[in-house]
Amino acid sequence: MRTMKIIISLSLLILFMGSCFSANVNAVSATTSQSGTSLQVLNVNNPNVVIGDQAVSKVWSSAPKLAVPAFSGNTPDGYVQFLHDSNNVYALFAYDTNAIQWIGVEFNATAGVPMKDGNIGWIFGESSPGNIYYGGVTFAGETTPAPNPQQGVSFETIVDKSTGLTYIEIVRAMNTSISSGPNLDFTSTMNLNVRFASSKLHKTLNPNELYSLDFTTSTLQIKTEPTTTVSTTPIDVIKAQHLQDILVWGSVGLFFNLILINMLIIYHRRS
Amino acid sequence: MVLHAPSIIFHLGAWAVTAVCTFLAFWISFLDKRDLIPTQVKRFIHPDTVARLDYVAAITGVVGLAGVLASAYFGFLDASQVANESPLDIMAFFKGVENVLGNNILSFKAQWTVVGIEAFVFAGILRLYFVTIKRQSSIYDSHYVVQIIYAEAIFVGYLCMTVVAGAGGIYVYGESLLSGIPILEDLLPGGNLMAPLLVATGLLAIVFILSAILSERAEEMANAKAENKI
Repeated sequence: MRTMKIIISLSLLILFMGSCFSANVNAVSATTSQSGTSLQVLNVNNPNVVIGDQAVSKVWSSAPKLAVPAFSGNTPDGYVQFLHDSNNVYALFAYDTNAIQWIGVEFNATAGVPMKDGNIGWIFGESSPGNIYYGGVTFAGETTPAPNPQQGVSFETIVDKSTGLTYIEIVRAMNTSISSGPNLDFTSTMNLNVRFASSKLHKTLNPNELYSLDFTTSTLQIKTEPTTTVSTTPIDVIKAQHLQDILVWGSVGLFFNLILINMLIIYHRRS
Repeated sequence: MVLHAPSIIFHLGAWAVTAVCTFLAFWISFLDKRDLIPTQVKRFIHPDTVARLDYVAAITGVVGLAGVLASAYFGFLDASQVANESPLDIMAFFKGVENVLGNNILSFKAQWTVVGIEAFVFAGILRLYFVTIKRQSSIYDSHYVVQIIYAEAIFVGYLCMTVVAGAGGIYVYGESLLSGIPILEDLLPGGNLMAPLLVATGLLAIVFILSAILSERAEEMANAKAENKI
């Protein structure tokens, strides 16, 4: 009986600790339009781009986009969008899920010299079985790029079966504060040559085909919609919510196991 | 160094064997005790089949448990996104834990991995008591309620692992093999069937246990009354 009380008390304590956190997470989705070889990277106020909410943020419906053939399959057409504020650069890459296994971008690209040694890039997806890229890379000529996690690229992958597109929503600091080694810091007025590639289009890519990202301090005019107010949650609160969920379910299982042990002890003594 | 992807084969494969052997042993034992196996079929079933299947399930259960702990550790290391991290890099592990908590899909995987492990531990405790301590030839020599909750725990644990693997596919590829399959896709991140399913399973186990206890109590009371009359 005493053992039972101790076990139940411990279980309730664990449950209580797990329930000390609480949060609400809301998410929104989006659609888009446009094309060319240059893309304006506008400044945006309160973009509300949340990584981990499994939804394409609403801000992208107002942002200019750039059609990218390397990201496109038969249908639909892939594209990219870029925005920035004083702290972060935001990007949305959309590509054809059925035709493409990985996508990438090389920053500060040079015409005629793809994957230039020392250039920074972002690659997402599986380049070969078991070799998965999670964002930041450093190119070393036309060899397998090396992962560069110091870039601090945060991203999430969202599949939209209705459009056949996979979206990768990306957030990265404007300034990485990396003091040594390959690095790329963005500024609010820079013009950046980039090269896009994918599993579908990289070996036959035209090495002279470059795009231009034109950072500007002009502010994005966000389309207003007559919708209900949306609240987004800081990442710390999301982490706390997830930790709470794990603790609650973990303690439920632990509770069952402790009850079982106690019942077996009682059964063993009686028999 | 991607370690999580190659390591999942150990616990998923081992626990698949555990689930299959448990399923076969449970039903062979159930049907055999009620003489429901046709004679022509019974000729092909060795008298020790149930005990052997139970033994294999137990061994692969232990292998799976060791595998899932290692795979979970490697999963956190991979989630840290630290390039060429050493398996002994504890700081990368903690960074991975932080990244997992910040991501809906990865935290889903962590949550249901914990539940799956606890389900298999539940089954392991039952087997440890009835087979190792009580020295039965197999768990299937126990009361039918013990067999039911043992098998139920193993299937729940394996279901959790399958869903976790499906969530991994969604994280890497955007969708998994389970996407598009009715009911199973509702168990994946974004679905709403996982929690009710597990709560119902737990309640079912409690119902079985209580019914067994109450029926034995009623039987004891009836016997006591009969002896008093005599």
